[in-house]
Amino acid sequence: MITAASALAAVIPLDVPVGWGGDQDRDVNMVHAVLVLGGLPLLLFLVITVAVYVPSLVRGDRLTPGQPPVENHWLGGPRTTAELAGPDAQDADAGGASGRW
Amino acid sequence: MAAGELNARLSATDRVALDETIRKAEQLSRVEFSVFVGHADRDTRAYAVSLHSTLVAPARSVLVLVDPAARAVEVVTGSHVRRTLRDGQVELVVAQMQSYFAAGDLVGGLRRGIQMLAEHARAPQTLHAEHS
Repeated sequence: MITAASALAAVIPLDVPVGWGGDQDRDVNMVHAVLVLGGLPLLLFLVITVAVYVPSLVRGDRLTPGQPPVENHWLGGPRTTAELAGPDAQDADAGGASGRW
Repeated sequence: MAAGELNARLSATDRVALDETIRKAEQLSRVEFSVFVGHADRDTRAYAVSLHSTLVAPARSVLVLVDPAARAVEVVTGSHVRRTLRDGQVELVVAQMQSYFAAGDLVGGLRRGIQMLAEHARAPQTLHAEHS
């Protein structure tokens, strides 16, 4: 009984590929292995990290989560205290205007 | 950053320019100007009034608050300032600032707004009749 595999083997010789056989090819250079298995992923990690963060840093975006979305800036007149005043301390006659865009 | 989006980050150059504008406005109007750019509470008006009350001389001060995230601008004027700077004039200034902010120009809007507020807040000059 001829199976499909044996028939295929009869048509196409399934020889061991060059470089797979022999004891001399089983020796692995450890330095080369470490470089390939550890160095390349590490290099890839660094490349991806740089590709992700550098554009944000160039644009000046913030990188730390949890920070307020807008950094507070005070300009001009000195303040007496950092505490917000209560309703009683507010200038009752304060005026002005509001707007949104 | 999308077109028209306001960049809330102020560079050192921006701060110098704003400080100079504030200084000139204060010299012109004899009114204290303070600018707060940052995150305000949900009720931006009440928050701006509270900040205004923390100033050294609230009655003689003008506070300009801009919350880029909420796209809100508030101008609070003290009771003394309101003698020369009317709320209607402030509304016109706020409208002018809004147009700058909508175009993404935070510093330009602030500088223009402060200049306009100072011009309006300037006490009217007394005209003296000369007698011969």
